[in-house]
Amino acid sequence: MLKRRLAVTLLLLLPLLALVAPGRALAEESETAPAPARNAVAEARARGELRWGNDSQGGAPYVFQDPMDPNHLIGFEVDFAAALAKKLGVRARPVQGQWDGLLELLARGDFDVVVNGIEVAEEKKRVADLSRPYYVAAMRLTVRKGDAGAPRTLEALRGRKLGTLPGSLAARLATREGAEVKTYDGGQNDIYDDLRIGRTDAVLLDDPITLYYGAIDPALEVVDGSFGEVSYAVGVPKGDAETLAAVNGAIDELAKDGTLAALYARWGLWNEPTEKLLGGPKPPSTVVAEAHDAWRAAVGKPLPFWSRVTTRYPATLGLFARGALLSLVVSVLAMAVAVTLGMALALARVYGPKPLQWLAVGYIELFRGTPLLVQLTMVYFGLPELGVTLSPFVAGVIALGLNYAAAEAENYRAGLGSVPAGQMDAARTLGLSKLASLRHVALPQAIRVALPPTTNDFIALLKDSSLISVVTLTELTKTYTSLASAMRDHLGLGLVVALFYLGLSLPFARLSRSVEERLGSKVRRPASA
Amino acid sequence: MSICVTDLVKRHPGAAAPALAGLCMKVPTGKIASVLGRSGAGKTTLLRCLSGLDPFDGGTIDVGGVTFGAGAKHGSFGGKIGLVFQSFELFPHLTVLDNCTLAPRVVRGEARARAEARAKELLAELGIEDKAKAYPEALSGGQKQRVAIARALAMEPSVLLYDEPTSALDPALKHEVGRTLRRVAGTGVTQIVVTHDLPVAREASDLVFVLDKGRVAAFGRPDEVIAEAA
Repeated sequence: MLKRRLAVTLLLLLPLLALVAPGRALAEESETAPAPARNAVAEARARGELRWGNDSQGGAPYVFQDPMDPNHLIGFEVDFAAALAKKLGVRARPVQGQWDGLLELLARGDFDVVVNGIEVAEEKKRVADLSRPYYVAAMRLTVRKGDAGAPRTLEALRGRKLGTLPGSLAARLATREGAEVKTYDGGQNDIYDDLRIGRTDAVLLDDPITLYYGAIDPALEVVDGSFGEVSYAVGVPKGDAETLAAVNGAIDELAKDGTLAALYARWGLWNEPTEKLLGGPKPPSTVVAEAHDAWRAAVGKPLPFWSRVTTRYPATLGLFARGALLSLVVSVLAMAVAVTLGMALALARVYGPKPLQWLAVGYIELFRGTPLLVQLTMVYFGLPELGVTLSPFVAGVIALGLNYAAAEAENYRAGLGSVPAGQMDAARTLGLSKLASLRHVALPQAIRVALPPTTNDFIALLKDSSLISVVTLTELTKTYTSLASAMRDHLGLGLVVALFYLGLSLPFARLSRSVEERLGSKVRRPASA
Repeated sequence: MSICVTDLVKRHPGAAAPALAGLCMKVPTGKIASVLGRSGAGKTTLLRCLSGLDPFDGGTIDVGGVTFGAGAKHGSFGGKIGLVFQSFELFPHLTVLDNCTLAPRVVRGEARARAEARAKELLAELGIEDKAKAYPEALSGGQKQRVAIARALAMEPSVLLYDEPTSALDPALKHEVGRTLRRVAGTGVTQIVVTHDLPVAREASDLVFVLDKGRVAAFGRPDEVIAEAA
């Protein structure tokens, strides 16, 4: 009995510790102890592949799903990463992550390098080291065509609504000019959509994005002139001198042998500042911007809905199915954690000794009262500071499970509360121990009461599992946002993803109803008096 | 087996007077005793102490020669004393048969087949063998009561307690209770019935105890005591 109590206590304490401890570690260690340096390029060579981090949701022309065949990742940085990996003697393997968290994921060890329009800026160097730049982009201002009051200079941005990417040079620039800056975590497509429909007055973004999203929209106009320059560099682990040297050497070679020039020209991205930066040969005149033309052809004019359904969507189904499977597996496993831990918490709260009750209440309030995103971030990014580095999958399951355990505990407490005290008395006068009374008498009855809210929670969990995209997992929602950005189609693909979510949740709702009916015929209160 | 209660004391926390103030009673093997008394006289407290649901603060309970003192823990009577609840408290998620076999299987580790065979015998003795597969919700009040008795008897108690056995029954069924008690008495089980139902106490019991302020105020044969009380 004592052992069991101890075990339950530890079980309850563990997640509390996990939540409290990283915060303290962060405060103490950040200034004093630098993380031990990696040698990412050696790791990549041993593995035979270079894991390079990117966010395909960011879209064209960097890294995105081919709108004509979304099973393929394309983009000038896909080509660049492939050339880089080849120079390093390995294959390139893209790894998905949330764009504004890419460098944190790199620091955590999820990638060897990051190649995704990472701007050279001081604040980025705090998290990672940056290679020599491989591309220079001018900043372009895009406004609505025919908008007489549109801001066409940086000074005119004061007090106006400006759309751009979070953490970008454009965002800092516009903030300094006194603009009301709106940043977008979703696709670049959204930024220009909002401009077109008047939610913002202008968009300030790098040339490549402007070329692929702003310039192809007939309702928009790109203002002449450059509004500053921004260089892209490869992010390498902080303090990893070997990798930095190897990556710099490879970029030098790619610049000198003309690989980069030809690559940029193919994507329609060759420009004067980049020519100056690379110092190598110009692209041969035979290279045409075929990749850019292909993009224009694919998404320039939106197809009517039905032809999208027949020609474009079938190729997305495999990706959606894969995303749905991941969402489902993570949710089912997280629910198993939530149900088990929730049951232990409910029993501790209802039947445990006082200290255990307090612990259970503390756990429930803490996990119910703080956002899942915070918990997931702490589990994934915080625990490594304590030496616990979980895989994205395990971190997702644990964070979702710990969070939902609080909700489950309350369901089961309500269920246990609905069992009349006389039932436990009856079990005990028959000689059943407290534990046996719980197991054979109280719990089976409590489950019937707790089942409908538990099903509800599972469906909610299924939807909340979309949060695991912040830890590099491409589940169903992330699949949708990436595809929507790559294919410039939010509404149609939104219907497709909705059908997938319904396909996941409806069977469970049905199953729960039939179980309820089966139990319902057996479990009713005995008519008293 | 006989049951002998000596100087039983039970105080509820915060209460001025003890609920049981040195209560003594003795019921010989196989006899039926009724316990009468106004509400607040200590009847329910007596039942909860005798059944092991609540601990008591002083005195002893002797069952068939084994003595339990104050501080004896819940359930420590080892299944020697069973209780039939006023609202029966059948387990609604189990069939009648499973209600009767749960404790023998879980507490004594009996095999299902053996436990079921015994439970069926008990149900047959009480005339409800045809309800073995039914769930409690499908039973009438009288049937529920007999299932509750069978469930308690399945643990082969020496003493069986009843809390207001007639209160949940149709008046027409009340005389059935007396017959059931007699049948159980025939198997040698000692029975203590807490009731406010004077006719049942008069007809069905061998002995009557009248409680007042946590003590036995009067006891004797039903015709003597009930005439006195009336």
